[in-house]
Amino acid sequence: MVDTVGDRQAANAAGTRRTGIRRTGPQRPAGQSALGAFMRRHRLAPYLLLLPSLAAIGLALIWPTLQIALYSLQNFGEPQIVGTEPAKWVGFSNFTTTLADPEFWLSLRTTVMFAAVLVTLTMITGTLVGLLLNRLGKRMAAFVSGAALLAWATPAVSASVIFVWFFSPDGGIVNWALEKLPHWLGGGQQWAQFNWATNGALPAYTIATILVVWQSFPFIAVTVLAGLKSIPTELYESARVDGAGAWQGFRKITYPMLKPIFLILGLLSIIWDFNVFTQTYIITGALGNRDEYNLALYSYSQAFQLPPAVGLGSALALILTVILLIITIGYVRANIKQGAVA
Amino acid sequence: MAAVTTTPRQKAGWGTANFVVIALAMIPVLWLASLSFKTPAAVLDPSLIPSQWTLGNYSQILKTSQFIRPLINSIGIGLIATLIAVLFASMAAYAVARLRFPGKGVLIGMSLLIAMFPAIALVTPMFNIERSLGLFNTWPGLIIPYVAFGLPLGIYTLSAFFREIPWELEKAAKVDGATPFQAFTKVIAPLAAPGMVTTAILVFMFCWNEFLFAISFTSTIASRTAPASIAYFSGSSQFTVPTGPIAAAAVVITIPIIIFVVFFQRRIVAGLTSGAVKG
Repeated sequence: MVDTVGDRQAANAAGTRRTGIRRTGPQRPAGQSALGAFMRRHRLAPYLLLLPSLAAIGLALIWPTLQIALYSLQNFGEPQIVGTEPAKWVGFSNFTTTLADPEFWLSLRTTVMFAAVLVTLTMITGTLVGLLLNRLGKRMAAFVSGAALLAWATPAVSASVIFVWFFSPDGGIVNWALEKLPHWLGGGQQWAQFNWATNGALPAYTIATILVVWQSFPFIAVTVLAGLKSIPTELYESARVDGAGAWQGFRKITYPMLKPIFLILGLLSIIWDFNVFTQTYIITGALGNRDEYNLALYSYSQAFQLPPAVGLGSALALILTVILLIITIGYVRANIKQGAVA
Repeated sequence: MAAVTTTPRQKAGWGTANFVVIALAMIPVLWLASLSFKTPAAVLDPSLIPSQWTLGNYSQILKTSQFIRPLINSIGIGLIATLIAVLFASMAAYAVARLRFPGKGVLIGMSLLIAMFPAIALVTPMFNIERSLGLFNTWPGLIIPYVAFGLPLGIYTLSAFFREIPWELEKAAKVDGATPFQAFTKVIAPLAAPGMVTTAILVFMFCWNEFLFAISFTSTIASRTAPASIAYFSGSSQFTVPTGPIAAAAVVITIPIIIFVVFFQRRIVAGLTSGAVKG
């Protein structure tokens, strides 16, 4: 504890002031103080405090990552898992095979388009709700944000269950409503038996988009609200005196002030939306429809298909990781700039 | 902003906006609850209020170990993983927030990077590692990855909280004759407790809702968690989806989450915004 920032001066100061108080140091057992002295001399305390976390992260994250790197360069498959054949090094052939697979490009396209729509809709909805919350009184704001947080916190499985049912051909309200719509609005009988889950990527991802936006806008809203609270109200008052309207106030004050937060939220959303798995897994029917895969589903099917193609799956996992790493580095840099971590 | 004078028309506009947000947020949850009380025949009719009420869906799922056992697994795995993650994260966050040491900046950057690591990429190697260590389909087989993935979140949230603690109080207590242990338990721990509770709530919610690892690293109800078990519900034949029981199970796993949100709303918001918005 002695290498705590500024602690040493305090200890010195305390030493001079602490006249009537018995020092606690010498009462400790000898072994403990020797260990303590060793730790202090080598400044080991921070590393010892970090050790359990690093061990857990190393076991569950670093080790598997190294494994993927290894597997991706080998022909690791069924015989290697069972142990009847040793793994052979195959160079980059897993990568070239993956990159030549049209299914990879299809799922990449689905993932990118899905993420682009999701990020846009989530950011807009979240910001609008954040602005709304900022205008409300304390109790109303707590009530509305509580309702919104419920959507955020609902387990992805539960949320998927209800949204799949909304769009279900057996009693779902969406088809029922579309059926009732007049013809010129695109309604009609053809919707009665329309199966959103099994008719290709567009209908399936329509469900997924509405569902994921519903689950992720509250996080954006409460974060934007916290940012809005940090903007001094005088700025808006003087802007209003100068005759600025609400939109100009947003464009000229709110947006520039919250830009770092928007950047972080945008990058976080991209990362999360790239990795959507639970909702798409349930909507598309547990890997049932190959033309509805995003990268996460494609990667999962590669890993657990029979016979398992671990080498190919690992190459794919590495490609996905690299794409996300590039976005994440942007996120980390934005965070450091914002000073949230220092 | 509160000082803005509003005309009645504007007031009505904001009221409508409030109503729309609340309705959009709540309707799916309400509908899920309604679905869980519908009889198999009523499921086919698209109305929010069930035409025929039944508790049959609940009695059906709560009768079998196919759901009860996973529910117990969820509670046990979630609590143990949360406890370990918060303990480890508190130690690490103390080091990050309070101590100076070489390599700290790199460490923070690395932990943010790791927090964003795609879990899907790690499923295959972790699956193989768990099989070779005999962890597959056991509680520790899920607890370990949950701790690892909860840690970056925990360290991040807790170090934001720990930076706000007036640490001078610790020195003051020592000056007044408190031992380091007393200074910690009497002064620092009460100040740190809210941050730790918040972190525990967030980590537990993460474990409770997690699905990918739960379906990948389990094969029977010995360790399968409740969300994963819902994916394995089956009807009387391959082609009938047991909508009612699935909805009932989905409600059961949502109830603890609703309780958390109702009772700890402010803490959850504080935890969520501690990172992105500098206090």
